[in-house]
Amino acid sequence: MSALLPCHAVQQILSWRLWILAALALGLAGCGGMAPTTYVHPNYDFSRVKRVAVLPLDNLSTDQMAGEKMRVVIMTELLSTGIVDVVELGQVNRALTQLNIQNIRGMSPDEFKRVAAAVAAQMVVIGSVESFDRVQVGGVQAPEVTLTLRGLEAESGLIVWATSVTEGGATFSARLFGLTGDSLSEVARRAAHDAVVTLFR
Amino acid sequence: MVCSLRPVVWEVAMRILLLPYAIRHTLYAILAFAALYLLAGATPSEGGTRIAVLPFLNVSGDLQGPAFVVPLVGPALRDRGYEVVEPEALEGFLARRRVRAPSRLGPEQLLLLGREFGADFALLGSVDLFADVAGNPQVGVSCRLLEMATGRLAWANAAGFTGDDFTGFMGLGTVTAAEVLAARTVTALFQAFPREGLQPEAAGPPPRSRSLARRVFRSPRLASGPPPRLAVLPFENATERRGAGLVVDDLMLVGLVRAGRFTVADAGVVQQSLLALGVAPYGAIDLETLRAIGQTAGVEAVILGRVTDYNEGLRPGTSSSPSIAIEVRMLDTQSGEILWMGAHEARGEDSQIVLEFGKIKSMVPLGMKVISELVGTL
Repeated sequence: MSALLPCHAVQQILSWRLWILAALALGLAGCGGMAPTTYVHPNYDFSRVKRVAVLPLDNLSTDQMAGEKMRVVIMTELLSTGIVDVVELGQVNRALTQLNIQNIRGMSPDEFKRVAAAVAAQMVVIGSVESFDRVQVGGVQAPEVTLTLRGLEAESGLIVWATSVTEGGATFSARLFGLTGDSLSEVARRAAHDAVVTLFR
Repeated sequence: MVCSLRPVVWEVAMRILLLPYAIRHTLYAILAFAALYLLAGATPSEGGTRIAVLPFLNVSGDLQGPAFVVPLVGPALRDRGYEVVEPEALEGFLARRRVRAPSRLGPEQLLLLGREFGADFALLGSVDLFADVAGNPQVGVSCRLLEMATGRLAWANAAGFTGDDFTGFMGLGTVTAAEVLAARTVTALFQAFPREGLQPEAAGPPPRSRSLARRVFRSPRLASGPPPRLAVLPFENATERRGAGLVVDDLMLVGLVRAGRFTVADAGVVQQSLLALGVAPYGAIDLETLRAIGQTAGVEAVILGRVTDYNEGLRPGTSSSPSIAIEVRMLDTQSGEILWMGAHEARGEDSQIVLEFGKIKSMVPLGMKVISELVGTL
C-alpha cells in the first residue's frame, strides 16, 4: 500500500484507524458499569474500624437467594482488602436471634449497638440488593447487579458510609455487539468490589 | 571368598543333577516361580490386607443406584490383591450397633468393626448420581478409605460418567446400559487405588485458577503457619436437589484428601461430634459451637458453606448440561476468624473446546473440578 499511496495519505489512514481503535477501547472500557455513588462521613476516623459485621441484606431482586449470595461476596471483598476482619455470618445470625431482631430495616440505633457489641464489631454493614438478574438487551441476556450498602458506626448507629453501585446490564458492548461479558457471579463480585473499595479510599 | 564358594555351588549342582527326574523338575519349578514372583516386584505379606466395604449412602435419588454400583466394588478391590469383607457380611454388626449412617462411622465404631472382622481398613462411600435415562444413563460415585486403628483418611476419590462421555466418531461407542456405565465408573474410581502392599500415590497439586484467586480471600496465617487439621461441616443446600449438600460434603473431603496437604477429620468424626454436642450447624456457625466442635473433633479449623446451584441436567425444562455453584469458608475453631473464603461456579460447557470436545457432561467430575480449583487457592 505504501508503494501505491503517498506517505501523507498512509499517515492519514493510520491516524483514522488509531482514532477508531481508541473509540472502541473507550467504549469497551466503559462497559463495566457506572461509577458508584458514595457518601463518606467527613469527620469519622475509619482507622478505628477493625472488625465489621455484615447483616442480612434486603433482597429486592427476583432471585430469592440474592441477598445471602451478595452478603458472602461482600464479606469476601471486605476480607480481601486485608484492612478489616469480618465476623462469621453464623455469629451475626446468632446475635440477631438472641436479640430477637427479625426486621433489619426497622432496627433502632440501640439495637445496632447491641448487635455490634455482641459480635465485637466497630461497624455494621446493612443494605439491599436491588437487582441480581440477567436483563434482556436486544437479543442477548446480560447479567446485572445493583447493590446499595450502608456502614453504621456501632456506638451511635450513625451512617458513616453509604454507596450504591450497578455493574453489568445494558452496557455499550452489550448493545452494540451483543457481548454480555462475564458471568453473573463475576459481575456480582465486581459490584461488591467497587462498593467496598469506596470505604477505604 | 567367592573362590571358596565355587566348589560348594558346583557340588550342590552336581547333586541336584543326580536327583530323580520328578524331584529335580519340581525343584526347578519352585525356583522359577520364586524368581518370577520377585521379578514382578511383589513382596510376600503375612496375611493380606483386609478391607470392609460398608453399604454406600444413596444420595442419587434413585433407589436402584447402590444395587448397580456396590457389588462391583468388592471385585475391584480383590483385583488389587486385597481381602474384602462384603457389605452383606456387615449387616448383622450394623444392626446390632444400630448404625443408621454406615457412611459416617465414628472412631469407636470403626475400631469395633475392625476387631470383629479382622479388617485393617473400611471403605465408605456414596452413590451421588444414578439416572437410568434411556439412551444416556448417568452414574457418579465417591468413596474414601479409612484406617480402622487410627481413623485416618488414607485415600479418597470420586468418579462419574454419562453414557455420552464414551461417544466417539460418528456417534459410536455411547454407553446406553446403566450396568455397563456403573462398571466403567467403578473402574475409573479405583484406577488410582494402590495395589496391596503399596502406598497410595500423591494426586499432585490441585489445579490453580488465576481468575478464581481474585474471588477468594486467603488469610496470611495460612501461608505462614502449618496447615491446620480440618473438618468439613455439613454444607447448606440452597438448591431444589435433595442431598446436594451431602454430595458437596463428600466431594470436599475427596478434594482435600487428594490435595495431600491437609490432615482431614473424616465425616464420621464430625457426625459423632455434632451428635455428642447436640448441635446441627447448617451453612453457618456461632463461636461457641465452633469452639466445642474444635475440641470434640480435635480440629483447628472447619470448612463450611452453601450450595447455591446444583443442576445435574436431568430435570425436564432445564439445561441438559450440569452446573454447580458453591460458597465456602474456613473458620479457625478457637478465634472464629475467617481463614479462607470464596465462591466458585462452573457449567459443563465452560471447558468445551469445539463441538463436544472438552465438555463435562456429568455432575461428579464437574463438582470435583470446582472443588479442586477452590482447594487449589488454599
